[in-house]
Amino acid sequence: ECTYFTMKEIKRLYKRFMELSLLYYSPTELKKMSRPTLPPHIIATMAELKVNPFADRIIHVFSDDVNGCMTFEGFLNMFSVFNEQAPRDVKAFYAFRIYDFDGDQYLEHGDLLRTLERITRRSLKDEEAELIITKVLEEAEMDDDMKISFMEFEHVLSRAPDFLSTFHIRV
Amino acid sequence: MNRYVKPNILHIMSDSDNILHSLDETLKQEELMFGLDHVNDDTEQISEVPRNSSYVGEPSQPYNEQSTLVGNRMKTVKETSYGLEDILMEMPSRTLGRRRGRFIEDVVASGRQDYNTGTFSRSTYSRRFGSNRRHRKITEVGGGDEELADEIFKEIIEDNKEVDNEEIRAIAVNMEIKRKIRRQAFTNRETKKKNKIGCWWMFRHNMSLKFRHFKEDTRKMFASAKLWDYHLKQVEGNFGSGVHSYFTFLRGLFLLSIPSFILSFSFISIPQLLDPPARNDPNVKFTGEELITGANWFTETIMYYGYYTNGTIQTIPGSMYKMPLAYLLATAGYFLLCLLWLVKSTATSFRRNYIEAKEDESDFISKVFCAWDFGITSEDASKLQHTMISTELKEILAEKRRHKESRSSSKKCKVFLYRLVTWMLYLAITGGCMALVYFVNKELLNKIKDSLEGIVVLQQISLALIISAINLVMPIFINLMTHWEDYKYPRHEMYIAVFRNFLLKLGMLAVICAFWTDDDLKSTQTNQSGSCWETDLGQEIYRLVIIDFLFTIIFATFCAEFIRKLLTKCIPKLKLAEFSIVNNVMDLIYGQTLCWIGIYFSPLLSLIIILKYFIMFYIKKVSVMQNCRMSTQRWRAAQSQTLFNAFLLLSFLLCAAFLCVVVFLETPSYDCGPYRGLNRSYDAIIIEFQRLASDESSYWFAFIMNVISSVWFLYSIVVILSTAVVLVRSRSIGYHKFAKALREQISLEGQDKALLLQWLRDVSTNHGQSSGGQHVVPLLKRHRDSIHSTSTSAPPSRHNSMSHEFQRESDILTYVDPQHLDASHLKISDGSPGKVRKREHKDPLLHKALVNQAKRPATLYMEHNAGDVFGSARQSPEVQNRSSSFSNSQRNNSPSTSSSNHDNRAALAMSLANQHPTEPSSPVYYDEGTF
Repeated sequence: ECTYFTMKEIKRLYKRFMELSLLYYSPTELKKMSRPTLPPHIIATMAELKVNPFADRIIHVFSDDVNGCMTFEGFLNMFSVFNEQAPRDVKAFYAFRIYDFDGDQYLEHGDLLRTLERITRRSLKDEEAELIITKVLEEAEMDDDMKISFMEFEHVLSRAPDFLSTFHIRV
Repeated sequence: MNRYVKPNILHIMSDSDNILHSLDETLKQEELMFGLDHVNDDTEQISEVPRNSSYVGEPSQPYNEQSTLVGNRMKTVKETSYGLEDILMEMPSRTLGRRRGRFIEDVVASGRQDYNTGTFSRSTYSRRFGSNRRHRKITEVGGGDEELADEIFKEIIEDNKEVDNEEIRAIAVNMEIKRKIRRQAFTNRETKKKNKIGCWWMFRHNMSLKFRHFKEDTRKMFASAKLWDYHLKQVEGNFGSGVHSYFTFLRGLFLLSIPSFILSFSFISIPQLLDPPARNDPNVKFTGEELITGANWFTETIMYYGYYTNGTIQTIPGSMYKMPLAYLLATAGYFLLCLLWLVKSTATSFRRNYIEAKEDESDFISKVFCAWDFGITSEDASKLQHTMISTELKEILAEKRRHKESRSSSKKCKVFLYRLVTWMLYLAITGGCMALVYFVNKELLNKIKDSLEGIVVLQQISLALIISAINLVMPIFINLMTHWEDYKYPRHEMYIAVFRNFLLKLGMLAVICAFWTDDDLKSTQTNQSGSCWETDLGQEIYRLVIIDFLFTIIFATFCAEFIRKLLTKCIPKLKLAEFSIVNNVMDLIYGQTLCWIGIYFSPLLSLIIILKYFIMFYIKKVSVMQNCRMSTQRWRAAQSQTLFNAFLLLSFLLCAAFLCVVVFLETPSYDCGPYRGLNRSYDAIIIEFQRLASDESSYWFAFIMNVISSVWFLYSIVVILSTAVVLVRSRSIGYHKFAKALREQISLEGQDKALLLQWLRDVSTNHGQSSGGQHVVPLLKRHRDSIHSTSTSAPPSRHNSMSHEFQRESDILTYVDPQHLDASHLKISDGSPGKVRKREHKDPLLHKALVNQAKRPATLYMEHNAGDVFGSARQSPEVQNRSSSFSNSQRNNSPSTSSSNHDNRAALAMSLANQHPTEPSSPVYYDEGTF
């Protein structure tokens, strides 16, 4: 009830989660555990995340503890956010946290640079990257502090029509 | 008065609380910074600005006050090197959250992350109020889930007393907390049930609850019945959301045609099957070639219009089923269904992609943050995506550079000439195609007339072959032509190419339709017995559908994609074909148009269409997966989806118009179909009504029909509709203005902050860091206390009192003491009059305020109430608010600027600050209904 899924989809996700757990735990161990948690490198083997340049960030953001381990609930929550029906705000909130590499609630130069590196696999020249970052900051900037706060980020995303169609993982 | 009040109140609403907030937040941080005062309460609600929502359209529902929630960990932030500048830097621009004009405030309490524990040292808590839904976001606080759940729950309860699943889903916290909230909500609901509330209210509540459950259940049902989900995921994983959008489009059309088939089959075909009329020519045998030509044997089946009778069907004793009526109403119902679906889907996608999201050509943000398609799952696709994004970024950069050097006039001329030529060429080609279709059609008809016995299959389908061939070849040509025209943006090129293709296809269809509904033809045909133009047209459409389908499969899919794949193995230079989304979608639209035209003339066409879509989906999917590669250009799925929907809607409307002409104006065939012998098809309905009206038993029905069809009824409906349109339109204009004002507000805020920073820097460089800071805090505190005393003196219980309070607040904030303003300026510039001038000119608004104040030396107190003091009603509150904010900030700085006798000045400023609440305020009640 707390997610954007139907019963069928939740079951399917649970099955996938259990398959993943079998990679890490032996079946007997698994039976003993009431709530198995999975370390990040296991989650990252999922096809949906394997090729995603932000996979580690996604897992970090949705993980339940400091080490990035994930219970089924976190797992479910993750896919719920990537569901079509999740509203723009919720998606924007998590997207912000994914792009916020150092976790200081602002997207700064460094964060943007790392984002760019990840989506282009460092195929850009340095000055090109710099130029893009300045442009991005200029566009998003509202209060001249040269970093993007969540409000600014959300505002800017609300103008980007592609966001909903790309920030989306089908289960 | 209203004219002035409207923008005024707007600005006050936004400005006053901003200032209040910035003030309070600065204060808070300064308290922390200087360690003079400790905040004792854990989560303190710093300020409460009662406000009303009258401007945005729900006058009866008061907003809750906004609340600033500063996490209790704020005080643990170790302050070492905060300067005033840092504080200002940290101040978020708080106006940003209001993009829909409804959200009151998003307050982000800022702080630093505590790296030692690895958790967040503060809670980011932002709240927004939508009209019916709010979203809450909470950055998870390290521990204390219970508290958090409690907090959120309380907030929700305060706001609307109702916690539903939708609400909970939209909260961005982890699952555990959500579950807690939910549990709380349900226990709460149960306790609430025990309390006796009004009977009517209970009833309404229950009904709405049931309705919501019902809605959710149906949604789930539909979601669980998602067709081809697995295939769609596969496609999306390998080809991104662009190709995926083609397949969802196909699926949508498929799903639409299923209910339409059920409708026409059950209401038209089944009754006719129960009572089959005798065949005219029983000797015709089914040979197999009919599957392609749609003629001969098929002519005398339920496939076509001509077969249906005009009588009543009385298979089941006692029941009368009037065929003409059923035929017309079922078709009308089908069109209504399509219309609803189309309008709904177009409107949603339009709203989502165009209205809510404004789009700029050079939006780097979306290129960076929305570039990665999260749905991609295959390795190759992700590699492609990487290169695609980087090339795209590079292209934009190059374009930016190119943009600066504008095109020379000779080049412009050349481009214009190119375009002129291509347009002429295009029009000539289209005209030629249409003429060709017309003549072929005529020729064919003559031949058929000459040799009624020996019609060859090839002759019958030659027209369809020609049209399909044109459809196959021309898009390629048009695309090339458009490419040659050298459009600045590839998207414009695509739009124009799509438009041209669309026009060409539609033009040819129009020729066919016009040909068959031509009066001369009909007059010649009526002499012949056994011919039926509706059936002929239906057959033609049938052939078009079939041939088009075969062409897409054989040529477009098999040859262009599969053969090419085989060729790539021989010739390594040749790459795999790209899946052309535009052409494929245009084919779909064309097919659907055919279906809409043909449905009246051959009711079972929808069955053919369903089969066609079904086969098409699998063939296309296999072909895409096996034979295609990903497109090198990024596809803007969201925008083009709206475009395709719009095209579909347009072609639908054209088809509907054509059918209306057929039904209302054209004479049906003399001796076939359900309307034989009538002047117009529509007459069947009129006759039926007349019969009912004359019938005694259905008096009331006749009466109602009379009323409905009377002029006055129609007139009043038109009047009501147009009033509604005008109302909605004016409201939308109002919203636009509101949004614009708010946008201005945002930029002003930014400038504000920048200016303040600038001033601070100036001051600090002029005078060096002095020991002034201590005096700021008590001063500001006093000011804060005074505000609190006014705002809490009368509890905001009701709407009126709230607006009253609000007025008082704004009074305080917009009040500018002329003396003080002067004094602060003198202070900052250290007494020299020349410097004062300089400062004034730096900020034009402040300058204006000062000038105005010079004109009216007594006071500036609430001048915008009168509304005519400042020429423009918009500027006055800004000026005042801004100047007051400056004066506040100046007060912060004033002690630090002068080290020698700051004590005196601080005392002066303090006394001034104390004066504020004691000023006699005369609250004005604005007429809220006018907003």
